[in-house]
Parts: sequence; C-alpha cells; structure tokens
Amino acid sequence: MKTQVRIARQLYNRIMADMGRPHSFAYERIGFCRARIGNEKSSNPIIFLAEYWSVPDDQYIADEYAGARINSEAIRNALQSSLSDDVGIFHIHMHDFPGIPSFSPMDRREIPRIVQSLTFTNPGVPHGMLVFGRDKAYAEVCMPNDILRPVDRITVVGHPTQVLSALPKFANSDRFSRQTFLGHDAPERIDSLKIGIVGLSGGGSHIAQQASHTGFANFALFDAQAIDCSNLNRLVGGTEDDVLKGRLKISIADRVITSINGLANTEPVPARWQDFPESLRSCDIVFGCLDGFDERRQLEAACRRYLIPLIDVGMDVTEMTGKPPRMAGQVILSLPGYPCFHCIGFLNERNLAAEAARYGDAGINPQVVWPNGVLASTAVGIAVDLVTDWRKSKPGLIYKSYDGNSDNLTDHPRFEYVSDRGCPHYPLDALGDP
Amino acid sequence: MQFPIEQIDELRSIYPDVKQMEEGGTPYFLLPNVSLPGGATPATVDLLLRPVHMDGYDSRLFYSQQPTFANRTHQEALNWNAQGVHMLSRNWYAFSWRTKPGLTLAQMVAMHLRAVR
Repeated sequence: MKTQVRIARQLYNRIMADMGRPHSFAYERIGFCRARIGNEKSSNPIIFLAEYWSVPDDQYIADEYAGARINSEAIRNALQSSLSDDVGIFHIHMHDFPGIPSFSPMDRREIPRIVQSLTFTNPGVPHGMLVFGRDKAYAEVCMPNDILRPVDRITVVGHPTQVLSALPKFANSDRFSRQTFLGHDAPERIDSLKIGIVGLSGGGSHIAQQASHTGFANFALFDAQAIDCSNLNRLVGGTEDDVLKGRLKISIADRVITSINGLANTEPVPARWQDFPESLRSCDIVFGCLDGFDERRQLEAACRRYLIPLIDVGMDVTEMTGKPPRMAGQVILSLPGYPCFHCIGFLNERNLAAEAARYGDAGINPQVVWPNGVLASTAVGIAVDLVTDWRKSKPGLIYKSYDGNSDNLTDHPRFEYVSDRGCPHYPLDALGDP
Repeated sequence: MQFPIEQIDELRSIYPDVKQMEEGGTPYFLLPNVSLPGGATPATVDLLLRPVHMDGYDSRLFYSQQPTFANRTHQEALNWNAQGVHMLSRNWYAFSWRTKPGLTLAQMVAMHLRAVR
C-alpha cells in the first residue's frame, strides 16, 4: 500500500501563515487538520487535509525542554472533532528549516500518543502527524486497522502544485538546458508529477507529445478507441500503418511519449476513465480532451473531489449560412477552490439538456490539426506554469477563448466577471470518497 | 439545496438507509439495497435519486447496475440512455423517464419505479 496526502494550496498557505505567528512562550505552533480519505478501496489511498484549526494560545503549556506542548483540552477538542464529524485528524506543526523535516525525539515520544488516542476514539478513519519544513514536509499516518507508517507522498495542490515529500534522486541533464528560465528545480518538479490525459485524439495527442518534450515523465492515458483513417488529419504520431493495424490511440501516445523519453512511466488505459477511476485519482494534473458537456461535468466533478487541477481543451467549427464557417475553442484551467465550469457558464442547463436530448451524442464535429495544436500548446504551457510558477501570475481560473477565424486567443469575456469569485459548487471541504 | 423535512422523513420511512448527498451543487439521495420489482436481475441495487431539474429531466433515478426485467417484452424495452455516468465516485445507469414537476421525494422514486413494474 502506498499512501499519499494532498492539501489545497489555499489551506497550505493559511497553515504556513499560522505556523509563523509568534507565541508568548512556545517556540512552535501546533494545529490540527481534519482528514478525509479517498480511493480507499485501492492500494493507493489518498488522504485529503481540510479544515485546519490552530491550537489557541491559552492551551499551550510552558515547557522549556519542548518547542511547544499543548494541554489536554486541546487534545480533547481534536478527539471530539473526530468523533462528532467522523473524520480523521492530523497533528500539524512546523520545523522552520529548509529541506525535508523530521520529527524530533520528543515529537516521537509525544505525538504518536495523541495519534493513538485518536485511533482509539475513532478507529475507522485515518489519523496522523505531519511536520512542515520551510519548503518540504514529512508525515506518518495510521490507516484503519494499521499502525503508524510513513506517508509515501505529500502534495500541495494549487498554483503552484508541487510534491513536498522526499523525491527520488533526479538526474538532470542537458535535455532541459534551454528551459532553465523555468527555475533551477523545474525539471525535478515537472518530473515528480503524474499527469492524466483523457482523450488521445486531436487535442490529447498533441498534449502527450509536448508534455513529454517538456519533461513530464509519468502519464495515465485514457481512451478506448482505435485510430481510424479520419484521425490521420490531426492525431499527432498516428500513421497509416497504425490505421491498418487498428492500433489504440493510447498505444500511439505511449509510443510517442516513450520515444521522446525512454524512462517515462506510462499507464495506458484502453477504456473510459470512469471504468478505472483509481488511475485518474492518482494523477496530479488532468488534461480533459473530451467532446461532450456531460463528459466534462463528470470529469470535473471527479477532479474536484480528488483535488486535481483540470485543464480542458476543446474546439468546434460551426457552419454559418452565407458566411465562412466559424472556428472557436477554449482552454480552461479548473483549479480546486476557484470557479468551476458551472461558475463560468461553460456548463449550463441549456447545453447539458440539448446534449441529453441527443442521448449524449456529441456528434461528429469538424476537427483539424492546427487549432488543436494551438489549444494543446496553451494547455501544456498552463500546466508548466502550474508546476513551476515561472510566470508568477495570479493563481486561479484561466478561461481562454480561441477564435480560429482571426487566430486570436484571448481571455473569455466572462473571465473578468467571475475570476475573483470562489466556487459554491465544489467547496474545498467536500473532498475524498463520499 | 434544502428539502422539506417531512419529505425526507417520508422517504426515510420507505428507505430507512437513505443518505442525502451533494456533488457540484446538485443534491442526491442514495437509497442503498433496494429490492426491484418486475422480476429484475439483479433483484437488489443501490438507487440514486436526483430530485432536481437537470439535463431536461425534472428528476432522475439512477441504478448502480443496469438490471434486466423478466416481465418486459422486447417492445417494452427501456431506453437506458445514461450508461456508466460517474457521480459521487461511482458509475450509474438510468433509462429515459419523465416525471411531472411538483412531486415529493417519495413520489418521485415511486413514479420512476412504476416504469419497471
């Protein structure tokens, strides 16, 4: 079993700000986070931290031998919270040093007792202890019916999305010498994350290729279809031989990715993602390259629930009477905690009902390679910035509108009205398995 | 979205394990282990009621598996147009069936189940 912890960037920032507040006598701050579990039935459960609270100043005990010590009332509050709302609880504190932090000998004596009390109180949910460093973190978790074990991966999700736990040694090379402006640790950051691509045709095939060039090395690829002749006008990497052999689109993407980076790990899923949701949930960023509105709704709901940024790309060509056909498209970053597809009006009752009236058939739409390329390149650029933060841009929604008749990619007119709002549809505490 | 407590109580009196849930701002009621009428295979499924207007339907009842019904002829076959729709971390199935607006929660479930009797 490999466990991982995910925490939204907004919550992480709040915790870090709280940890930095001075106390009148304690050297460290202590808090608690509620923990919800996701992917519980798989071998890779995910623990989502949500709803942090700081231990009040008057619940600290003066102890010159400890960085911070809390009293029984603070611990009782944590136990009660677990029991009342049937959630796991993580003890949180910080060692304000760079690099991977570790628990001190006193932490090792004291905190596991608190975790044990939580486990006795509510044994059916995960409890644990997490220590943040200045830029990294370390955690141990007690899963139901188990003992305290190290968490394999800790990720903070948002802008930027990054792994806070220890990473395997990364062998940098000249491969990325022309993209050093992304940051000195950008190759390692990019390499550390797993991306999912749902739909490997016009948009998804571009994304697979460019993401591999950029340095992404862990992929889950979802598409049940084999290439056919009509895909050759746009499916990057697809050949006549693939059509003759009836190769799956995921196999072609796999070949493209691994021919660029022989060390890439690919997980080709020859099915709908809905039939292998555990694979999707294990991704850190998902690219949605889907045709239908309801498919997008399902994918966004899953990504929000499992705290995964989703980048949607899509295009369409509409025949116009007496005018040239109208080519349009969009790239949307749906980031947990920020406006969703419903908030921006991209999904609405009108387009969902119209699609349902066609029994979910999105139709056979015109598709060509160049707008797919523009939109996919933009999506990969958004993902790279999401990981490296090289642009230092404002975090949140991205909603780009593409006009293929004038070759313009601009903010959608609705963007300025909704970008600063939160999202009432997917609150950040509604995470994990329902 | 809030529903009148009497309606929820009425639903609970028929389905004691009913659980109210929400995803994407849409309310749902999960009805676990419901015995289906009409000689269904499987005989028991989980049901998911979406009691609000969406996708052109005033309400929808989703099944955790697509059952077959021994008492239905080929001509009476239902139009299962929702296949493996992922909601609340599970895949769900539903046939196209329209109910009138203004029903209570229990009436909605009854009207949907009437289609398979």
